[in-house]
Amino acid sequence: MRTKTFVFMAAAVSLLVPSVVSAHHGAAGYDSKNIMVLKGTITEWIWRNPHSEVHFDVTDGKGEVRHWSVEAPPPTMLTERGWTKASLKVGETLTFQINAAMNGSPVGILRKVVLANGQDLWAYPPADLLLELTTGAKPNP
Amino acid sequence: MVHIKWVVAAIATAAALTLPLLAQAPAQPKAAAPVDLSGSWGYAVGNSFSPKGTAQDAGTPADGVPYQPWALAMMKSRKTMTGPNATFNTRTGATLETSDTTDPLEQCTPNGIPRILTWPAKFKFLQTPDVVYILYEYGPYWRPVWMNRQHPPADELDSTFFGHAIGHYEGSDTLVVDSVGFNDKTWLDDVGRPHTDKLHLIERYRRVDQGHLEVSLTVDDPGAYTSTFTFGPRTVLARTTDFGAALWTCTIENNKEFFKDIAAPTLTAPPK
Repeated sequence: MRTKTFVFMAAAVSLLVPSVVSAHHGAAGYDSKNIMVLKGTITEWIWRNPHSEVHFDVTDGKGEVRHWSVEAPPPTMLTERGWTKASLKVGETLTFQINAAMNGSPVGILRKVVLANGQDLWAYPPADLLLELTTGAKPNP
Repeated sequence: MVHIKWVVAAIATAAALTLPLLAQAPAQPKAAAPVDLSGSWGYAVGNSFSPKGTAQDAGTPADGVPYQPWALAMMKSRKTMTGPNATFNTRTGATLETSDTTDPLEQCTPNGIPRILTWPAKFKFLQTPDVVYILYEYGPYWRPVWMNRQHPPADELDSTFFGHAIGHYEGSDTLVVDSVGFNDKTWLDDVGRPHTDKLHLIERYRRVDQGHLEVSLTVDDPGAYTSTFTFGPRTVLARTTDFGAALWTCTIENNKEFFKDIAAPTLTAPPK
């Protein structure tokens, strides 16, 4: 059962799954045009190649729990984007923005995490922010 | 008046005393490289090294690659992870051993050059007068580029994943790397273009300015293609993040776990 309490589809948002995803495995399985927002409690955080993984439980309004497994970039890329192995911790309840699998399985690819203090931690940032994070280039005013 | 024989003897004595000292004098430092390639570079070279078109155009006339018939057939037969033939792990219930992909990287075979440039990890040049070392966060691998030398004779050349590389500078902004001595176990790029052990690869790295490096590749493989072809130039950016802060080491176990956790449920039948 889908966890409607904490899920909404931002249908108007069109996002391309980054090329690195298709470089390692087909991106066809993800709904790259829509972002799903999930509030979940982390059960496992795996910092490794070829892709990092965050696993979390989402509880809906009826108390039913659904377990999600979401991929994130490898450490080479996350390090450039301001992450460390300690960025996420088991037991934290955070908000995850993902592109979910189109087949309905509780899996997806992470776009960003909203930390408890409200800070965005981007897995796949927008192009101008990615450029700033990795090269120091400031976006054009 | 001094007799000529004493003059000759004096000169001979002075030379005998001086020459050994000259021979023992420390070598003068060699001039700095004319091209400064310092920095961390990456990683948008691309994943399809064709003169034209995109990865999706691979194997069509739009890609501009002069395939020999067997090479085109070989590429089309490969089950890649990207491009028009991408069929990564789509079989319901597949395991890594039975997954559809035939990409050697799934088994952590070294990707070699030029394919290592497709991977999202940085590379770096360490320049010395006689050798330029190119370091890669993927692997981590590194390779020596022997400056101002020749390749060894063909019968002395090993056949390896990265080949034997010699290099020289062109003008004030370009390093040219010339490699031979490859095996045929790697793909040229992510869409599965083949090469043979006759591959002769020329890489050109042009420092455009502090923040930009142009990369171009010329593939000369008479075993697989009817003529040479060139990819690029493609611009990569200088990265401000530390080179080597994270490394990308491939393990089959990690690939299997990722497949089990994410890829299989994403690409196989939905749960009932």
